[in-house]
Amino acid sequence: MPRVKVCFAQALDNSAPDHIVWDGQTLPVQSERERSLACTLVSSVSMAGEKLYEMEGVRLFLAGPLFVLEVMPQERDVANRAAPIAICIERDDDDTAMTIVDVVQSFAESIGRTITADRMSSVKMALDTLAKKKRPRGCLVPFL
Amino acid sequence: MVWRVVAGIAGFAVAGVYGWMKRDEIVEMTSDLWDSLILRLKGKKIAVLGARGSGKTTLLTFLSKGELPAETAQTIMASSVSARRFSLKDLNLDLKETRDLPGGEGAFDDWKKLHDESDYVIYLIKSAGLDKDRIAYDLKKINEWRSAEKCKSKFLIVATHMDLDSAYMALKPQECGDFFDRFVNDLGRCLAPFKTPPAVILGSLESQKHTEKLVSEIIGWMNHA
Repeated sequence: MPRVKVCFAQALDNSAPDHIVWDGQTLPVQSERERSLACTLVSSVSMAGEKLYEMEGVRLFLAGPLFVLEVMPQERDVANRAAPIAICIERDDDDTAMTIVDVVQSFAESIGRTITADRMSSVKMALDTLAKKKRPRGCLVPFL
Repeated sequence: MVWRVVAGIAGFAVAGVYGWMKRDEIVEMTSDLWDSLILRLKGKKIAVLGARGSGKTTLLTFLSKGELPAETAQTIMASSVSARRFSLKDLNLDLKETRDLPGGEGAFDDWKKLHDESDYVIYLIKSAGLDKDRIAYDLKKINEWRSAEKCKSKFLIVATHMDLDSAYMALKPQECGDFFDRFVNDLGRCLAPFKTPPAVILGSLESQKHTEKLVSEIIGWMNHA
């Protein structure tokens, strides 16, 4: 099973709290500290990481042992903007693309988002690109 | 008769030379003003903060590329906005690299970090459907960061999406003052944490023209802040 650190999405109405899942647990609004940590973790990978893939509504950033997949579902927010979801995962060579695709699909469905088959193909291509990249040695500490 | 013609030509020439000198003077003054403005803002860092959908990405894109983003998406993770020479008409500014941050409440740690390392902090308010609770919360936090002794940055509030306010769009120039006062009064408790009320600018990022106007006002504020 992929070691999913954070699943993140903003609400479509731009006013309800963000959807944040941390280590498999949905974080309530009251968990301010954890919500902030989750947000910072995702941002630190996108800022410090290398952008390995950007195509067809999918971006993949890699920083040390972590990678973030950003995927655009079909739904748009109240301002008619694309409303991406982000999944931050600790890299493990034993994980197959399919198990990660399942994670993306499952999180999207849990918050009522739809990811098209074409987009899922793009996710798989992103994961193929990642698989070709040698896994660096490193630990999570700098990101936590 | 000849003398009259000569006097007429001489008078015209003197007036022309005077006009030319005045124009030169004006050009020189304007140039000095731009030079000093460019010098003052060169290498400065701007933080653009604000709730979701307030226009942070749009404003930062405009400041880095001089144009509005073609596609818009929610910003769910930080991204770098590279240092670039910003050109608006005759004005060229070299601003430092900054970051585009998400607007959710989970991003406050990143907001603070960017706030603390910036020279100018601009907080965007989405004027359409003012969420006063959120604005009050954000401004309370920002005021706490600004209360730190080492904080030297200048702070500005910009209300965006004014194009959606039909009353604002229908204003005649002489009515703008009253509207502005009412708008700021309406923010009331949101501004309460500040000892000195921050500067406020109203505008829109809806089109290139509106954005240029708003950015000109922001740069004007930066020059005098």
